Amino acid sequence: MSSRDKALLVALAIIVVGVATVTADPAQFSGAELVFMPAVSDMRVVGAIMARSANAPTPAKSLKDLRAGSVFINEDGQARIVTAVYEDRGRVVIETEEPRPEYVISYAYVPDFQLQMTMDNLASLAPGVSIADSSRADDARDLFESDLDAATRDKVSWITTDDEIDDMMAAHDDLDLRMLRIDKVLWSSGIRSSDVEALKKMQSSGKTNGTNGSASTPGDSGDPMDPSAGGGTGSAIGEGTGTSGSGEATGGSLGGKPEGSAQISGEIRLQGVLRYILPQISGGFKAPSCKVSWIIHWWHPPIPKFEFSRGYARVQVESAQQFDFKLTGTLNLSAEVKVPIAMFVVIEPHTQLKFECGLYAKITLDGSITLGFEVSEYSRSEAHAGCDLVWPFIPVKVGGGQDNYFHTAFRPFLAASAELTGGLYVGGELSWSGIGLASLEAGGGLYVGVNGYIEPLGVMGYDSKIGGYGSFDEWIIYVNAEAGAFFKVTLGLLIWSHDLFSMRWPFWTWANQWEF
Amino acid sequence: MRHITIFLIVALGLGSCSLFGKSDEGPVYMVVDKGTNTAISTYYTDGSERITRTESYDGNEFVSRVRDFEYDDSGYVRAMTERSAGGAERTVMYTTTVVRGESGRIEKIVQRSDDGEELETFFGYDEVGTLRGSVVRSVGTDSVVMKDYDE
Repeated sequence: MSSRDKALLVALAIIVVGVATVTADPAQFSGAELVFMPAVSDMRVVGAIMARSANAPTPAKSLKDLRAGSVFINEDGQARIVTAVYEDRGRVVIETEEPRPEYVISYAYVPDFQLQMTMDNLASLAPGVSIADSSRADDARDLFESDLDAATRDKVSWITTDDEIDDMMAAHDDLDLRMLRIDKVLWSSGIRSSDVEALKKMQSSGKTNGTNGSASTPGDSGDPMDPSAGGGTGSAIGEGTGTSGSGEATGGSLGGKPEGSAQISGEIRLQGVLRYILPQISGGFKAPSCKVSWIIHWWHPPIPKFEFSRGYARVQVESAQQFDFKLTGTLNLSAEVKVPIAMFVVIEPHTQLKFECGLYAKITLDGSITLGFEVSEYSRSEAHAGCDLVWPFIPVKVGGGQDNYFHTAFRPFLAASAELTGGLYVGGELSWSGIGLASLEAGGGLYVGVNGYIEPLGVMGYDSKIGGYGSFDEWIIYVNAEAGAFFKVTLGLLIWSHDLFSMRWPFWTWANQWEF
Repeated sequence: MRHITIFLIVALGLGSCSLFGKSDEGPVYMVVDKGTNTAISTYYTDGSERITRTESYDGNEFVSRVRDFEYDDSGYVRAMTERSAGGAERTVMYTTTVVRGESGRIEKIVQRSDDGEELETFFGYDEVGTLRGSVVRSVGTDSVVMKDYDE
């Protein structure tokens, strides 16, 4: 047995002994027996050992009798030994530390027990983690009771769909297998071209007009807190919101200046499924004891006779879990150029409401690139430890063992997609102060899209029984392209957008793959 | 003469404090852990040194649980109201039955709570009538906690 194993076993033994000493309420363990040392005071209010007063039991108890060296059970059922008592700001401070077990109990016996953790023991879930709808499952008998076979090792058992999870959950009903789903955006950020322009405009305007924007409107009243003058907080960075009260309220034109916009966003996301068997703990405990009696004969003074009996502590923990997860980093790019052909605009100057409709051409480019890792990790462990306890609490014959199995496999992948569309649209948009409130557009044109990925033909992994395995010697590149015509009707409300109707008619497709 | 006057005033003040200043609140005991120098729990007592409230703290010295106790005329706990840091509150009512033997000694005390728990405490006396030990038995689980009293 290695020194690390010994340390583990001693730690387990100490845990068992520690539980017995600090938990004075054995009610959760049926049939448990606990004998306090005579000097121990039980300061619990409910269910406590009563004190003795005038040769009779009394419910009254007082902390004023505690002195340095006193051992007591506090309201939380923890044993403490007093090291000092003093007054501080009107309170009596009782300084304590954890006592040695033999100061607290003279005998303890916990019959063999078995504790099955339940979902009631689940203290909290991290944000982005949810419990699967079905709570019992298993394909899992072989999964959680044996090592993985070669076929299973050679793939990353990433579970992608809810159906697959449900199938697995429904496959068996004899193991208490639980599932947690994890879908968490670890980082995300994005910027639009309009934001950049607004920042540039703010900078230049701020340099020109100072910081209160009072010179930006003809109707300036000179009061920076007068909203009608474009002052106040709305123009604090130099871009006044006041209006001149004059100008075109309505108008129409043929052609116009093309408008372009672009947006880049990115995120790092963790998605996965954690499957685990609720841990099972079993064990037993008996404290060592020492009994003193006196041998009395007339020919010599009384001689003490000591009878020692050994105790024991044993504990076993079984658990298994599998965590399949996918970590992806995605960069999205979208760009749009809108070329007005015939536009009609209505502006209400006081409310800044604007309605714009007309015929326009629109060219869009959407693309994304994703770098990801798929990882599957599985472990099963059974650890047991036991020892004899010699009075007072000395562990001897410490023994035990563990049977652990660990396996992990992973593979990277790189995926990219891009689509270019161009078409003619008829649409209208209602906006307020540059903020789109509602829009509707219908149009069609041509599109061409391409997507592809590159990934290894296999996995690399580590198995505790066979060591490292696998390689990334062979890769595959897959590319798919499509071109065609499209027509769609899109409704937009604030930041929400939805295609009411969308149809595509591809007239050219192409796909190929290369292995190398 | 001036010193005598001051002495009398101070003595009168101290005397009135001791005669009339006694309230129903007793000492407050704070149990701290020596190693970490953090509070573990605080006990509030009444004028009879009975524990009326306990506060338990977590590792960061935030109150994790508060228990308030009421007692009956015989000094046995009658009600316990518990509030946890999460906001949950429960009140448990207790009834205590004292069983005496022919000699008038207390031989058994039964404590029942309205949440279904029942504790029996048995008392043992030696041949000269000295109380030597007690055993608390949880009726539901048949677990026992025992103690021998010092001679």
